Amino acid sequence: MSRTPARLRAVLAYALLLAFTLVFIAPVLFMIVGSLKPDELVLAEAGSLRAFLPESVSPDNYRAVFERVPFGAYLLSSMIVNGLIVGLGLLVNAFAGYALARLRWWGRGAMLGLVLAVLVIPFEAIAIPLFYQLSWLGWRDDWLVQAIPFVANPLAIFLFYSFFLGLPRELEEAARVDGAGVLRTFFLIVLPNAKAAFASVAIVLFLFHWGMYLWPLLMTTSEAVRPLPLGIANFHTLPPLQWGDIMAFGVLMVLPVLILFVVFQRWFVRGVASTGVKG
Amino acid sequence: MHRARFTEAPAAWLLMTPALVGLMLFLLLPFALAVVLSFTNLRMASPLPLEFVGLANYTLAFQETALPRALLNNLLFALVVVPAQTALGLALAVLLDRPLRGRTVFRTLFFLPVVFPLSLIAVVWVLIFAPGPDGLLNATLGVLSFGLWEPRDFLNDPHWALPAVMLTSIWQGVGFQMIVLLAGLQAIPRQLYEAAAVDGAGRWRQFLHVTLPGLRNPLIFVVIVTTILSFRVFDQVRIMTRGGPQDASNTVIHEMVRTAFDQGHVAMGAAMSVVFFVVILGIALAQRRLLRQRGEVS
Amino acid sequence: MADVEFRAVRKAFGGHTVISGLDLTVQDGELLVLLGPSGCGKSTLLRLLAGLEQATDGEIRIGGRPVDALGPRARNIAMVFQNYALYPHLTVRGNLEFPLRMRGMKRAERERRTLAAARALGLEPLLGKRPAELSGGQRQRVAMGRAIVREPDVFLMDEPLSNLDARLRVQIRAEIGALQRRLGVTTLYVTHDQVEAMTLGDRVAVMRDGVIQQLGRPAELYERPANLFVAGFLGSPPMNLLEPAFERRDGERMARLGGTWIRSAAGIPERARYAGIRPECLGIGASGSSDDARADRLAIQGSVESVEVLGHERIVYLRAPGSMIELSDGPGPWRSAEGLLAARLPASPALEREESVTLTAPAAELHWFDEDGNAIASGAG
Repeated sequence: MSRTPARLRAVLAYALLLAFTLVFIAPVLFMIVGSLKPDELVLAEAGSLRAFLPESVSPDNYRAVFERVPFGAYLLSSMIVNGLIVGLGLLVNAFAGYALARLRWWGRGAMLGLVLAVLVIPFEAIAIPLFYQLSWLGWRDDWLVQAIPFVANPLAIFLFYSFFLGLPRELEEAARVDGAGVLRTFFLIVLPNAKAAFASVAIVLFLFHWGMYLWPLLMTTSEAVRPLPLGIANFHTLPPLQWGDIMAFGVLMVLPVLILFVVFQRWFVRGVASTGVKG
Repeated sequence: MHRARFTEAPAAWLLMTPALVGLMLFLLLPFALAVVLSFTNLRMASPLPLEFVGLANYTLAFQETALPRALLNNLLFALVVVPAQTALGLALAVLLDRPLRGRTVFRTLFFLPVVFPLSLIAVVWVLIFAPGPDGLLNATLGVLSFGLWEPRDFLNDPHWALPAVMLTSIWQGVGFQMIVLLAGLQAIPRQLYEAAAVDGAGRWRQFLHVTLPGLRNPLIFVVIVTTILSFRVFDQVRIMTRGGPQDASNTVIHEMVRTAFDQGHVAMGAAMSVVFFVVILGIALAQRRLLRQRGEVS
Repeated sequence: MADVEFRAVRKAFGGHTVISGLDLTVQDGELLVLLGPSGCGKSTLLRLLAGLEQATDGEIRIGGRPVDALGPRARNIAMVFQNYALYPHLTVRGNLEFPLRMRGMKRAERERRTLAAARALGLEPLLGKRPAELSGGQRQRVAMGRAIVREPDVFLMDEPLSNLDARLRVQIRAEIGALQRRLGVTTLYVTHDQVEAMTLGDRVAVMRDGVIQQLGRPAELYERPANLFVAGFLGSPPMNLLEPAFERRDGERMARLGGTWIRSAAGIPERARYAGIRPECLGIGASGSSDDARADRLAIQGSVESVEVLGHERIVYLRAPGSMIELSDGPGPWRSAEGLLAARLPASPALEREESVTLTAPAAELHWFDEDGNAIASGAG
């Protein structure tokens, strides 16, 4: 193998990568192109190269998305719910991770054990009783009920915990000696130096919840508070089935994620990798 | 001897409490509730008084619902998707772990589906799997086989529904595996490869003796996570096939949701949750064991 | 200003005792150096005083006030960390101001003090920069500045020079000494570098395994080491430690060192078991017969193993018969060793490797130690 000339190997690598690229890009391209052409042509042209090269381009489908379903409401719901989960989640889980990693207190071991134990409870296993629990309280069909149960997240706590453990202690000790208490040390010294961890965990939380489908399906009934994943599923079953509109909905739905992804790509990659390296 | 101490406990509890309350209310309590409910006869909108029914839900779940078939499907799903996705992820990671022009672009493209919501991907793939010669996949296969391919309705064919869901899942998730393994590859010191090369190891031997052992931990992680995800499959199934045809692509979670919500049999759904949890717990325990073994060696 | 008192302080991590029942008083305004090899507990002692660790047992007082129940912020101490621990997200000004802000000081007073500290350390042009933009020496000064700006009761310094290169270390060492004398703040200074300890300390406490081996002025430690550990730790190269053969002749105790018999008339105490001689006390003598016992001089003959030329002088290592001992990492505190005898000699005459040489010294220069390694006060030293 080592005798294969380097140049040939590079060519082979590129050929393989390009082949994979085709497989990965085709469905995405299919969606984008489909969103730009008349509904009846999406399926009709799916079997030809026309699937990727539209004859004419029109924004009709995008207009239809806004006219046929409350896309704006879906988007707003998704943004509010995810904003709450990520915003509150960062704070709450970073607090807990910090207390577990750095402070000395009675109960620390038990709490760490608890976090590691509930890490294995998959959400799907508790969806039904949680649905009942909250229904009994009469709490359903709003934004908060889609967000609050996911704020405290054992994986996020664990990621923060590992990150804080790896941070050099001296900075915090210097702050303590300089007269800062636990909270001021956390906010003034730890927080500004833990941007990487916050970014990574924010991304992980966002990725986990932007596509959330089961829970809002159970908890919401009004279109006004339903998030995008439910929107596209509803749309998919809303007669008449107009594929062009659905593709346009899909493009619009994924656009915010794509913008975030392109801007914060480094953190996406690091966030996802950190779940693997440390988990 | 009693000594006065300063203590960080008040601050620690202050920081811990919000998360603790959340975990208790929204994870532990419902979990306990799932166990309790699974021994009752709770049904949605049922006039019957709540009763303790022992293990009846568990027995019935295995005898009269699609749970056994769903479990089998999840197992098949894991047996196919985990090796395929891991091998593909590893291949992509190895291809990208070299000074290559456009490396970031490739990495971005392969990772892209991971950030797409599953519901969207499912809808797009419904279209790709569209029946008849005009379906994207049917047409592509027709071209590749020089017309020998018989077009079929993948999602409504008992033989093809589950594989179709698997293919969608592999396409969506392989970028995650690639990123984790790529990070693992980059953590392997270059000197190890150089030492192996000096010792006369070719590329293949370097891969076997340096790369794979160095990737042990990320590989275990990736395999475990994918296995767990294989048992949690829901979104794709719900949107693409609704578990059909004839339960050919049904999964545990899908069956659970159907039993509890579509049929209103909440208690039996809870029993399925507990079964599901036991499966996940088994996998998680296996993970801990595998990781600990490594700790003892090093 | 305040004195610092450790009373029967014990510290154990889990079951592992790091400091066992330590008593130490640092006088008001004094610079006391804690000197010892890594892992001897000197940094732990500092962290106990700072409140970063809590003692398992015993009491710590600052200015007569017990501080065990106080957190770090209530102790009014300032600390310079080994890697400086500058806040990377704050400018030099932000770093210097931080302790003042934490004490809720008014803005005007804060500015005044920050400027004064910056001026004292020559940091004024750097006030707007971040730590990452500073050189090692500048960072060290900022760390010092952050410590002095608050006018604390006690300074704690944990190996503050160990991250600097050799030349800068000498310069900043002098600056620290001058600053401490000028401010007169009680200072506890931890180092493993004996030169720092000797040049900076009003007093030096040599520590090993959580126990203070000897506490005294630098010259005292050097001239009258309390035990084999201190003797073997101080000096560069340190004292040669030997295990002579003893014999009683005509009722008189004789010690045989490298072929010479020394009489007790030369001050061999009864309990003596080990002997030590500083490298600078040895000189080249006429080679004599090994049977030629001379009571008042020892003469050790051996072959030159290596020579380190330092310019104005040389360190000559001699392979000599007789048993050297050295500090042990094993269970016992010291062990027999195939050691080399070190001698500090003038630059000439030239010596070749393998050349046979006799080193002599007055027997009065010998230090004597008993079975347990403790120094025996005698005619020596």
